Amino acid sequence: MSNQTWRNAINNNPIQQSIRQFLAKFPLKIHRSLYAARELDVPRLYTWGPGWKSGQQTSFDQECVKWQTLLKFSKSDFETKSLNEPLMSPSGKLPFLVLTTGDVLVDDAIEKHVTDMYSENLGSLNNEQQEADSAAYIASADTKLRNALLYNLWCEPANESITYNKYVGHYAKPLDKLLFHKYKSLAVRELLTRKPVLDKEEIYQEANEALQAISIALGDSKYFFGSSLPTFIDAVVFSYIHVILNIPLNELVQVQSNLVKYSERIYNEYILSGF
Amino acid sequence: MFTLYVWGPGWDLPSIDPGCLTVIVYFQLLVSVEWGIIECNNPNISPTGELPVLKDGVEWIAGANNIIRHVKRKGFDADENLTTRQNADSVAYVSFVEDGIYDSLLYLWYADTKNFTQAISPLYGKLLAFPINYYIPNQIREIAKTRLEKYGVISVGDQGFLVDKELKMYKAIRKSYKILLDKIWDNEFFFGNNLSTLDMVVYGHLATHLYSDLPNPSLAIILRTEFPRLVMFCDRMKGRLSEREIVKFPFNDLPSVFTGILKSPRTWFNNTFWQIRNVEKEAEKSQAQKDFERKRIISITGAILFMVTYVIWNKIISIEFISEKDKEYYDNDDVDDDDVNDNYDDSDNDGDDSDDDDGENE
Repeated sequence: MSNQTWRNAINNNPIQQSIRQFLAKFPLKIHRSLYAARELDVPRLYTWGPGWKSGQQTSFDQECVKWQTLLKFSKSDFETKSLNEPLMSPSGKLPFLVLTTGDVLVDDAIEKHVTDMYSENLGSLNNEQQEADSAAYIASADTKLRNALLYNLWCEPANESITYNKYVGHYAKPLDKLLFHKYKSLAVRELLTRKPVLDKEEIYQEANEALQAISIALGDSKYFFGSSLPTFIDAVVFSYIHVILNIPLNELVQVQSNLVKYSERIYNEYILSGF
Repeated sequence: MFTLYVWGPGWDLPSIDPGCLTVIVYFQLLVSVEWGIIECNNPNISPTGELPVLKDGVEWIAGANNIIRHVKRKGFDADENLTTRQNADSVAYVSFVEDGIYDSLLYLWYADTKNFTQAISPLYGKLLAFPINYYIPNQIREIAKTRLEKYGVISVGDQGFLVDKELKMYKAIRKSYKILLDKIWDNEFFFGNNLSTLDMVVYGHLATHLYSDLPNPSLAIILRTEFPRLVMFCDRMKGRLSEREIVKFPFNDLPSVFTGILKSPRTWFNNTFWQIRNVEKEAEKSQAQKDFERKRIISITGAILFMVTYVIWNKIISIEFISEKDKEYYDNDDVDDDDVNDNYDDSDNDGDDSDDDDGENE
């Protein structure tokens, strides 16, 4: 029997046909879905929030402030929503950006989205040397300043209560302690990939060095490397300075006055006034 | 006199570790007083568990950056001629090299299974002493795994193979080389014509990428084909360094746990246990503390007494004094009881051994 006739035999089988007819009736009725995702009017950035001080529009988490600031720099239309549940994000950590098309962006994808769509509102660096410098200063902030920030928030017993309130305070009773422990061990694990032992003095000393270098690189100019409009490095540096100034870490490291002014100016110009 | 404790040599390089290499190069080019290295290959001798470690008289300094900071204070400063801005750049680029460039190395050495099993693990096996050569490479591999997560390199399967799933790693590696290339441009050194710390840090890292001999030499190939100017920089540095000898001290005074206990067990025990006891010696107790402790003892004793009295008073446990004669009577009684129990047990097909044992004991 050839393949074709064999298939015909099956198709013409009355029992098969009746089974198929019966199954074709299902599903009997399709209900309207109860929890459909609502259409967004503008892209929405889900973050940790609200900020360290009441009335602050920035998130309390440095990563969130960074992307929030970059989006503000780009003058794109978006809203920020305090979510405080990292498991909702596809990457397992906040923030994430939901576009009106339903696309969900995290990390580098947000940067790509912003530079593709709104490059006219962002400054550009003059040459490749400046781009290299920018990458180096970002690396220095992302290692030295981040070490100090993580250590100060998660490893200093005195700050445990404020970190607890911000990151896990909204969870129910036994869960909050478990999550606190989990986030803390994640922070320690990250620190230990860059430092063999966590020496408090050394971590703050290196952060001081990095802050001083960043302060010198900024100088008196409005944005980094003399750009007339802010670039990605401005978002990174602002996020660190802004968070450091709001937590007890600001008593342990020295934030130079030009960086303080720079951070206030960006906050007033971009975050507070909107556009 | 400075003594450097470092990871041992490999592939014609004085050390296989970028941090150690950086410090050795710094000393070779700048330090004019007597110094030497000890290839100790045991990170456990370091107070922070990391090599290199510098011994300067009685001082121990661990970590490449701390060592360079220390010798700068001693007057061997490579960055004297740099401007303020260049110094700031130096800080930034050094963190960049230790972050991005070191991640590239970690990827090729530890995430590439072929390189790890055929070259890196045997290399450490040769350098390290018996018990630690099994766990140190894997320990470093764990750190590498955590660091590479942010590039999308994840471990797959039970064997823990690290896979670059999103193929982002080589893009990131090329990007980091490009940054160094843009910085050095066509200068002799990173900051114009002046040798500085950054040059040594970059050489310390790139030499391990370039001069190592691995089954999968992707980093060396990328550097040689796409970034010849960085290769030229490394070759220039290597040529300059080849003129300078490195003094190697024998490693007979290693402050290791094992050598210590072999050489002089008594001092070892004294150091290990006596010191701990000394440290734990408590401070003089205050009056309040003494009061508190006295009250605690009184209340605990009181509670125990009360409990015992309560138990006896309510006949939860009763103590009876019986004469010899009575005792015999009781014993017989017991035996009878057991027989009855045994019969009962047998009928029930239970065969409870504990009852039998009790009977025999009495």
